[in-house]
Amino acid sequence: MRFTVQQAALSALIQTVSKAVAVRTTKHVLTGILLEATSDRLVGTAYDLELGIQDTLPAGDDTGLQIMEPGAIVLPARTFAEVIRKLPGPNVSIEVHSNYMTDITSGSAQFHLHGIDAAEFPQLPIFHASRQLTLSSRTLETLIRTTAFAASSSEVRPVLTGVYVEYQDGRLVFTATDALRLATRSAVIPEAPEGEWRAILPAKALQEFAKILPDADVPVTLQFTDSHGLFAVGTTRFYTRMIQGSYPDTSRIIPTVFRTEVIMPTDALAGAIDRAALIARDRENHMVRLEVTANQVTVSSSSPEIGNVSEQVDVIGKTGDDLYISFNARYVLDALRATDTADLVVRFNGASSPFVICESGRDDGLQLISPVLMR
Amino acid sequence: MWRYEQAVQALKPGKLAPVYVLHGSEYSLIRSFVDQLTHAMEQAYGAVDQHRFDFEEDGVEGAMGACCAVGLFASHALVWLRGVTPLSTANSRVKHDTVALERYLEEPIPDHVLVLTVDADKLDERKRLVKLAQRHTVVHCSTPGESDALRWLQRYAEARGVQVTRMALQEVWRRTGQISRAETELDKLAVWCDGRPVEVEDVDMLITPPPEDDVFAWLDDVVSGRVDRAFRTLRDLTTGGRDPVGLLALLQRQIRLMAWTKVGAERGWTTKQLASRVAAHPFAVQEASRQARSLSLRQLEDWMLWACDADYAVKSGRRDGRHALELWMAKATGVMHAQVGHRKR
Repeated sequence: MRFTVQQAALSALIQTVSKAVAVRTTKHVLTGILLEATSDRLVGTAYDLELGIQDTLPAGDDTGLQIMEPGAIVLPARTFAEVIRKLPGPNVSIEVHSNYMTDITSGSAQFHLHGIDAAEFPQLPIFHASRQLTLSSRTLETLIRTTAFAASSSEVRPVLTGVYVEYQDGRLVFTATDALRLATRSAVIPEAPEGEWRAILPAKALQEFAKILPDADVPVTLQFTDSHGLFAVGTTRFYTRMIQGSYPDTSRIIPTVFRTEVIMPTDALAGAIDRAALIARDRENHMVRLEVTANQVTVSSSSPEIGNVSEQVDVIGKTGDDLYISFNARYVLDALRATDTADLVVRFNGASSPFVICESGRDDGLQLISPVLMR
Repeated sequence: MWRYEQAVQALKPGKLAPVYVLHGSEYSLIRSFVDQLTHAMEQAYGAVDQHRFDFEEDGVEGAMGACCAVGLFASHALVWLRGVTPLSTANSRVKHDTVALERYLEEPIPDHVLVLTVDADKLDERKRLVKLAQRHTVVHCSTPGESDALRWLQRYAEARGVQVTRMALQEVWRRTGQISRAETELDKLAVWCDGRPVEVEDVDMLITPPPEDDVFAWLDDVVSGRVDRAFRTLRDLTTGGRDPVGLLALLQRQIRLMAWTKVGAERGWTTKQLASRVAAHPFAVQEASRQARSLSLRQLEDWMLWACDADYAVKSGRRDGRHALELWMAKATGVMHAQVGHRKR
């Protein structure tokens, strides 16, 4: 294999795929990046058997890619990425010799890296005749950002570490829960095919994918088989394993009737809870109290060792009973961070039932949080 | 029935405690207890949320959060906090604050069940945390005696549809000496035998005997004439990297000590006096005197002489170290046998 390419273009390619490089593994080859050069393109792949990312550079003037001799090699990701990043530039030429010894030349710098046989690198899952859907990257980013954080980080119930994705006739719903809080968001996909399917995708993989989405609004194609999901955006392909198992029925736990409803400005509430959380650190379980009276909401917390705090937040509207409730400030702050509107609606059902946070004037998603029992 | 079994039998729906403290080195007993507890909770309440936390990694915060929360899917939860090292006397690598846990133990929430486990046979009773924990149900999950263990393993095998002969089970226990290990070995044997009853021969083939790497046990075996064990131990000791010259030196020291106890007894010294004279620990002296009881000073002199000869032979390169030790053992134990035989006559 022999090619030359612009340093910046190659560095960007490595940056994109390196998120899927295995960190702790017994298979040495998974700690590398697979480079495959064909007559008109260079493909970089990293795959830790859970998550795979593949990016392509086309040959041409934009990338400065010129392929003299096609071939493939696996190079150790960490060293390779650092080397390419620090090369004097502007062009890099790479040549693989026998015994997988790889020469990397740029300016007057010359590296010789030990590579691994490309045949040892695992195959990415193959997708054909699978379910497919195209949507905007902004929509997908919002769906991920407003739900994935609520998934569980503990492996006690593996399905809860995933985001439950439901599709039905143009409506896509993402739901995540760790059994103490739940986040759900839906989106209507224009010109989407009819059909119905469900999948559980690892929340961590989705969050990684959201990071590599471009800032501009571009189309993203989703494909699913029974065991894997594929997201294609631009030249990048993102593969993830699906979580097997049955997701709990979340529709029955979302309350539909409420005893108290309060409309509040998002920033004021988030600020008050953030400040109250300063007093309720680890030892107090981040427990913050919220008191709803006639036209005011009081946010407070206390700790025997540190002190206490209390702050009033004006409400825009309130209906129903007065209320006094405690909750984990981290859960509520996470939920508030996932809301985009200036005002929000909080609906309660007494001090020991879960409460719902919705964006004011929207009905495409909600955050459900279970309270902390007061003693 | 040992106390652990009584605790398991007390797990009945409606009679569950809000906090269980399980401690002991037998992980499989702890796991089995939590399984039974989960089962009892499910019988009593239907769906049960399960949370697992590791003290060393997460501290008590996550577990306390789960204990004080109302689950979305179930109103009752089983919260398992593992490796609560502050309950034990062991020094923990990481220091986590346990104040929140102490506060919870004072007043636990009755809807949830908190399980605290630690891999320690003894709890550190001086600590406030342990005193509070002891107000709740404490279950001792350490290795039981042989008869209880055999009964437990028999039931374990039956539950998995594995037939084990009594002899085989005893041999499994002798070779493992721990419920957790024995259970994994039984699983292995079940796969090996594939439906037919497990015999002693299978155990012999599949389970490695425990390595006898205790040099003091070896010395005791040598000077007390337990030949087969002494030879087996010697093999394990040398495999484990013990230097034969070092072993020979230890042996000489032991013989010398035994001889001293003989001399001391003649002169009417107490164990303590002798210990301070020869600069040895009183316990070592006491042991040596026990070992020397059936031997004469003359024999001990012979032993010493052979040991010195062996030492010289090894150090001058005329004999292999292990070979020399084996030869010494054969000679010395031969004497023992003659003597025992003589006594019988």
